[in-house]
Amino acid sequence: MKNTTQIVQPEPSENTTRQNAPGKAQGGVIGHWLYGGSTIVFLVIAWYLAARFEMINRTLMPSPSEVWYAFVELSGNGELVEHVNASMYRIIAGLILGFVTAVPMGLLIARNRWVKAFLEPLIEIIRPIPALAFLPLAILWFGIGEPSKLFIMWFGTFFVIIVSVIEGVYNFDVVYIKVAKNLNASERQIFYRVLLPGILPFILEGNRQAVATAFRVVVSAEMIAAQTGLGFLIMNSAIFYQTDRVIVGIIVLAVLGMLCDRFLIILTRKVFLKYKAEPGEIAV
Amino acid sequence: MNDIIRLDGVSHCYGSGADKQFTLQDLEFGVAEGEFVCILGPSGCGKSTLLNLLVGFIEPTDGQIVMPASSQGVVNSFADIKVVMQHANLFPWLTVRKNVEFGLRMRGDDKAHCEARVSELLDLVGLQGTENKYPTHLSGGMQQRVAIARALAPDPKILLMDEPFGALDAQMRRRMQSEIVRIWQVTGKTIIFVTHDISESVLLADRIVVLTSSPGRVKDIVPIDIPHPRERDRTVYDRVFELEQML
Repeated sequence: MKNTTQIVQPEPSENTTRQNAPGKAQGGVIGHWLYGGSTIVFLVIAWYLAARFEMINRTLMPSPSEVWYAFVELSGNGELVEHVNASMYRIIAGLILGFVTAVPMGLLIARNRWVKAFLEPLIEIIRPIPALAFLPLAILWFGIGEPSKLFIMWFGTFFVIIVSVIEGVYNFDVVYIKVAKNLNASERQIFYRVLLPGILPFILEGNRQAVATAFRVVVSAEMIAAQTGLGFLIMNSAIFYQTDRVIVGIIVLAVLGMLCDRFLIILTRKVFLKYKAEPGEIAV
Repeated sequence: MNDIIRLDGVSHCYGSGADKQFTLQDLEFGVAEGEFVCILGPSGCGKSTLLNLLVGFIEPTDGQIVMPASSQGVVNSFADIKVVMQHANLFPWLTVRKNVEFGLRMRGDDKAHCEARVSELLDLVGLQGTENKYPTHLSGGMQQRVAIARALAPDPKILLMDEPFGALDAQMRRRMQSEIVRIWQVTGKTIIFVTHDISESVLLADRIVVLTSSPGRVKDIVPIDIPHPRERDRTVYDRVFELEQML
């Protein structure tokens, strides 16, 4: 009964807000980006000078201009778009598969102790295995085509999401369920109107991690067993000593990964968690 | 006056046999319709247990809670008793409007009725214009007002309050104390108000049920006949002093 009086509100997505806090202190979002951007500019200049004065082996490390031309060529002939599409398709499909399976399963495990007792040890055993370890088996099971890749994409994202769902349910303050019950809510209503929105911040945080995982897994998988995708582009170019193309692939990956993460953060803040207070917004 | 709710020898204990530990023992009192009753007791007197019993989250080990006027006869009908807890516990993902109408929505009231009820209640608690704000954007006192509006929305017979102002600062607590008296007078609801603050109970209650601690028993039932609105003046402090002597 004590927990009715001592309420600790779960604030799982606080990490996402905090990461921005130092930037805000230094004078706004734009200032933050300019400040961060200057590091990249500095790096590119150093890289350019190193290449210009032959301080690095040009075969192993191309100059920024060579990378730029490779980028122009790859985007001009449509190759890059094709690879990006292939990778993004795998990432998004994997995430959707992971999401639609992990969320219901996570809720079931968290809400039903029999399911929990039955499945949790299994999950704990399988979870630490890198998704890629299953790729050879997946190829044997599903063939060299797309299904084997999707399988390990699902595998990679599923466990990330399910863990955050379970954690969300465990961190959920039961006092909300009591309040809802007192306000005539049925079990079904409690589930859909209280529990699900209550753990949404955890699910969204899990999704962010799942996206990061998906990027990692897709590149490795494409390096090993694919004829398309950014992972393939990088691996295949390296085989032919086209290091400029390798760098293009890496940079495109970095940009895509960052854009996806930003997109998720903004979506989270503006759409799903707009109720979170920004500092200084509390009325008295 | 008729009792709207009555506790008949209500006991509650944890464990069984030799380990049996009573949290509440032989509670025997009634609350009249429209009455403001404070339940006053030190921490560990089983106030929370009593609260959980009253809303039907747990069952008494012995005795029963009767609501003569209710159609169900025996309580455990959540429809008749609504709770305001120490922390507002508003659903953070819902706007003030959605929070207040939650209870109505859950039982399937139509939109027009909900809307009318929400504005009526926000008027009552003095929070007009906050309908579309989120609870995190409100101060503690305002959140507690929303919680009161939310509890009143389904038009319960009894409003049960568990140290509702305990988490507020002293100034806000005083303001909310006069607010709740005003709301009580306007709505004519029966209020059962759990507190450990003696002066709060004297300021608010028609009658104070004084509990002892572990196990919680009824030590005394003290009527307070000072007319409302009560100020923090000599008459009130005399009663507070009397009660302090007694405890």
